Amino acid sequence: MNRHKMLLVLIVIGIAVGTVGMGLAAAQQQDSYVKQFTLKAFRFGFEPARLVVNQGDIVVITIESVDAIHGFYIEDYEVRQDFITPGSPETVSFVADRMGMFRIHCSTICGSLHPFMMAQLEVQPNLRFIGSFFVISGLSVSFIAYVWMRKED
Amino acid sequence: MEQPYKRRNLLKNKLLKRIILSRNLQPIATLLAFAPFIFVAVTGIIGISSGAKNFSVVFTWILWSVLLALLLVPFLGRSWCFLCPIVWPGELIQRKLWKRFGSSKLMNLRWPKILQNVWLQIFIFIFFGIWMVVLVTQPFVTAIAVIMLITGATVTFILFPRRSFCRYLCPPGLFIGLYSAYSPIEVRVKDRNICLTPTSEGGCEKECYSGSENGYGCPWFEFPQNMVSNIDCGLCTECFKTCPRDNIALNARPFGAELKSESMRRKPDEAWRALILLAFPLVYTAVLFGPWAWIKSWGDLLLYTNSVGMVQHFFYIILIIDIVLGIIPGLHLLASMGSKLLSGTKDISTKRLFVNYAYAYIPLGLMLWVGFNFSLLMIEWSYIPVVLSDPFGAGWNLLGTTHLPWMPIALPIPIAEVAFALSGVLLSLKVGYNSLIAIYPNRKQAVRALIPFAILTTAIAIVYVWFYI
Ligand code: SF4
Ligand code: SF4
Ligand code: SF4
Ligand SMILES: [Cu+2]
Repeated sequence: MNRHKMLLVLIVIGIAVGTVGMGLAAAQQQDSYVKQFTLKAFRFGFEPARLVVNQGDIVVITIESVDAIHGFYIEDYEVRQDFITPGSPETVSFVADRMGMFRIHCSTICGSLHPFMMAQLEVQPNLRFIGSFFVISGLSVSFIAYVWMRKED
Repeated sequence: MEQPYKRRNLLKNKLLKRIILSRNLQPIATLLAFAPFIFVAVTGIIGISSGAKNFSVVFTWILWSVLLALLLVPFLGRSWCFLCPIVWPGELIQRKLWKRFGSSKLMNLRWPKILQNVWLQIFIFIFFGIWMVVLVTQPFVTAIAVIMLITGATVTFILFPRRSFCRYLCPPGLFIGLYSAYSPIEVRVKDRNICLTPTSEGGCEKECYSGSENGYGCPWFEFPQNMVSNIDCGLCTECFKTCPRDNIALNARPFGAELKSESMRRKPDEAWRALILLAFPLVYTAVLFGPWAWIKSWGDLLLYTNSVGMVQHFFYIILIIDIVLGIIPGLHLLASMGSKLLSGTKDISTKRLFVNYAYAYIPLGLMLWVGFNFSLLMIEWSYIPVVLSDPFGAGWNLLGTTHLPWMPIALPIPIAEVAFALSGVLLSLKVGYNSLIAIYPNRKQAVRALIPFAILTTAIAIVYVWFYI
């Protein structure tokens, strides 16, 4: 393969990567940076049972106890709110800066299955960031390859 | 018999030998263990009904079972059985009412031949396992279970000889026994040739099995001369006392050594035991640590709401039985069939692969139990000082720690769980590869036969870590 062809291939690859990245970023563009949830706490679980956010989002969760005094705690994020009584919801907020799944627990003893009253917070990879990374780096590679090719002519 | 693996006799240490040979050690240890379990029964019955505030639930399920799974079994095998209080009244009656030493029996009924395997024990374990949600959260139920075990053991000890209860019935024993095969200590004869010396040439009279004036014949129906596995040796130290030729050693050995040795006998009921004990930590993780509230309440026999009744509970039972007796063993059967196909030879039957390879799940199973209990301890440890200070939940404050807040230590959980699952997979594959090498004539076939099992092993570990990371 001669130099010329190789550069052309590079340009194509760069544009392709850029397009995929753009797509990824766009798919998430409709999502807001601020994720708001209303979480119902009941014996012995939470509804919804899985909260899905993206890394970097600002997460705002309002917890309403339905049937007893419950609490709220997220592993590792150490976000915690004890003693949430029915009728007086509490709101917690934090920045989801770490990726992964984090278990949510009830933090106030509320009955027999209390130790296993759980939900999950899933912080997904930040596609906006990853997408943008690919757009920017992909297009830069194409650009450099393009000017290189021009110089040769 | 030449040494199948590296071992070192710990009884070369004079002090340890004195301790092991003492007749007082076991009764004292047992009595010390008996006290808290009586307390479990008492607090469970008259204490507060909220499990997290009651000594019986917290002691049994956050301290005792966690200690068993994290330390005692992986490092010291059946050491718990040495001091087990469940059998204390039974063994006392069985021994003292008959004669001082020799063999332990009272009524001496014969254990039915058809039940001389671990199937009944497996079903009892599943029975307790199904109601785990109730058992680990309700003090009263925990108390009943402890009383049931002690009563069941006592009756069995009166009717049948030796530790028939431990060999064929005890549910914790199902777990402790199987995974003790992985532990790095063992009781074995020092030199089998000494055992094989005929009596006429100064050999022994098999006192290790039949007993003598120095101690009881092996309570676990083991014959040390032929023993190649830890699974049924209760570490009771009787054979140290009875062997007239001082031919018994307490060895340190590499972890899981016997699983890799070819002398280990492979039995179908034990294979099922390994599969079922592999399935349970997955089930417990999904039910107790999963995000699904419905499955927790459907599993709670005592919880009746307008959305949970007998039908839901029945469905839950079927679901657990399906996973434990159907899906996991079924996947293993599929893997065994795939393995036979891939190996390219028909000489080794699917059944033989199914039974032999099941033993390779022992390290993974143990690691999943360790992981489950580790997470439980990290999250719930702070209930321990609370109930020590106020065991009945009656408002006492003996140690000043009654009002300690709940303080989970969540940070190390994800990384630890990944480490447990990963090491479980690697250790299992190593044992599995060894067992396939032993049955296939060439290495290439063994490697090909390993592939389906490796896929299943990995898949199980991945499903498991999903609940933690
Ligand atoms: S098998 Fe069960 S009853 Fe027997 S000693 Fe072990 S734990 Fe105790
Ligand atoms: S009594 Fe000692 S020498 Fe005799 S068979 Fe038992 S372990 Fe071997
Ligand atoms: S007598 Fe020896 S072989 Fe039998 S259970 Fe006790 S320690 Fe194990
Ligand atoms: Cu709660």
